[in-house]
Amino acid sequence: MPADPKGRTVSGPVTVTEFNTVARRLLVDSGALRDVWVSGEISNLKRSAAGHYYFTLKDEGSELSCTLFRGVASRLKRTPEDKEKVVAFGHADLYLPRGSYQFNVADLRAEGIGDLHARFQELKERLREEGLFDEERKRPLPRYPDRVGVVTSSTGSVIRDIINVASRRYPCEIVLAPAQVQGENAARSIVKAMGSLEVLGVDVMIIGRGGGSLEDLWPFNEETVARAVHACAVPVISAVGHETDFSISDFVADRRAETPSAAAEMALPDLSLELRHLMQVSLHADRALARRLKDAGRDFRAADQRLAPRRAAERLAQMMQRADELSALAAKAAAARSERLAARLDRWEYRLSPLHAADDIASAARSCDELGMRADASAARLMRDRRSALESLEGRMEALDPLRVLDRGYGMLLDQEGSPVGSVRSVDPGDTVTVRMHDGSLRAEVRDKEVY
Amino acid sequence: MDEDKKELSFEEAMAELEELVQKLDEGELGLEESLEIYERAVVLRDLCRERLEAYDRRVRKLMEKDGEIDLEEFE
Repeated sequence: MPADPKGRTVSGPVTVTEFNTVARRLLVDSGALRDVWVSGEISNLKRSAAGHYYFTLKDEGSELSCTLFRGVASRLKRTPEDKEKVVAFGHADLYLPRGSYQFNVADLRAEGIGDLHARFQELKERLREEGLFDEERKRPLPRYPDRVGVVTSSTGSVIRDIINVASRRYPCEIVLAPAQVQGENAARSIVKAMGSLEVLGVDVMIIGRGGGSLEDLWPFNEETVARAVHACAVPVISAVGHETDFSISDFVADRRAETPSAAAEMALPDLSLELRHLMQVSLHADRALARRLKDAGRDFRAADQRLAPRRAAERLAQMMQRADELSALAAKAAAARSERLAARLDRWEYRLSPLHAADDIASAARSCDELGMRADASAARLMRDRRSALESLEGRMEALDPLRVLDRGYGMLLDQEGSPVGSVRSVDPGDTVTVRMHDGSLRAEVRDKEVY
Repeated sequence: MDEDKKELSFEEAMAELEELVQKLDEGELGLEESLEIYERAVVLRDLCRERLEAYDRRVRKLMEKDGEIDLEEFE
């Protein structure tokens, strides 16, 4: 068993491969050099035939060998360039065949990215303080837009997604205002497109682009874009980036959508829901009217019942019965009166008969003879007075005489007590009644009766 | 009424329709007025349905030529 130079016992010699394998494990497994961002300047950039990149990252004090494999390189938005200041993301590794230590790059960005973060935060705070993000100034979206403006690239997926959603959601006009959404002129292009849509007149505006890195989304973090969104005449939906990353325009916009499709869904009502709503509304109207008609019908029937023919006949019958009763009473009173008059007439007839008058005249004459001619005049006057009194009485009598009615063929019906019969109700079959006519009386037996 | 139909946007028609139905619902109108309002509601409902079902969706692209704004069919 060999000993080390200090005399300690060590295990037998290991191969170079074994040594470097252990070293590699230590480097990789420690985790301390994994998933880190390293900043530096690219030098000695080489591209292999297979498409991998090899370069050295260096700063004033040291150098780091870097490998950028083809698969990673193809995903990058930029190709690395010599002398470029970058930040590289990756982990430490050891290349076994050469025993060299290196940095495997998984992402590579321009170094300015740190500045962008700072600028983003600074602008966000400033605009927030200015009140551009205030909830109170967010406008509601129109419920049924006729025209939706979209500010985005005319070639990207954003406009396609929006058209797809719109086509199954709601009929309206979609106007695309093409804009560059990345590059140096992007912010100006976006602001100009928004202005054109305002001039054209739209009900709501969607500004957006698909996801991307902070750099990609940068135009939507520019102050000019934020101010244009803030000042826009119509509500703006910002559909920039993805679920987790917010852009400044997301904060300023009236609504923020996680994706362009979601923005279209916000902007447009759902046709099938609207049709259902419309159906419900008109059903409601039908019901309300039906209810009103039912009420009116009920009111009408109540009024009608009071006017109905059957009710009228009942009322008429009641009135006629009352009339019968009244006329029976009247007839009874009239009969009683006519009887009294008849009795008085008898007395007058007796006293005023010519025979008595002659007697009176004779006795008057006798008195006259006895009292002398002086009395003649007064006796004659007395007789004249009496005659004229009689004549006047007869005139009045004639008008009142119920028996004159009898002259015309009517009979007056009297019961056994001699009272006039006013109603068939007071007579029963088998009763004997007296029919008094102008020239005599009949005694009659009632055979049958019929009540009207 | 026909003039009306041209002028009214879907949104306005819908808003008026909802208002009329509300009125009908409250049931404080005379019968004749109820009928008039109902008739108007039917016109508006048909208008709304027509608009919804007409499905006239256009996608257009904003063009600027010599400072003039113009629209052209997109696709």
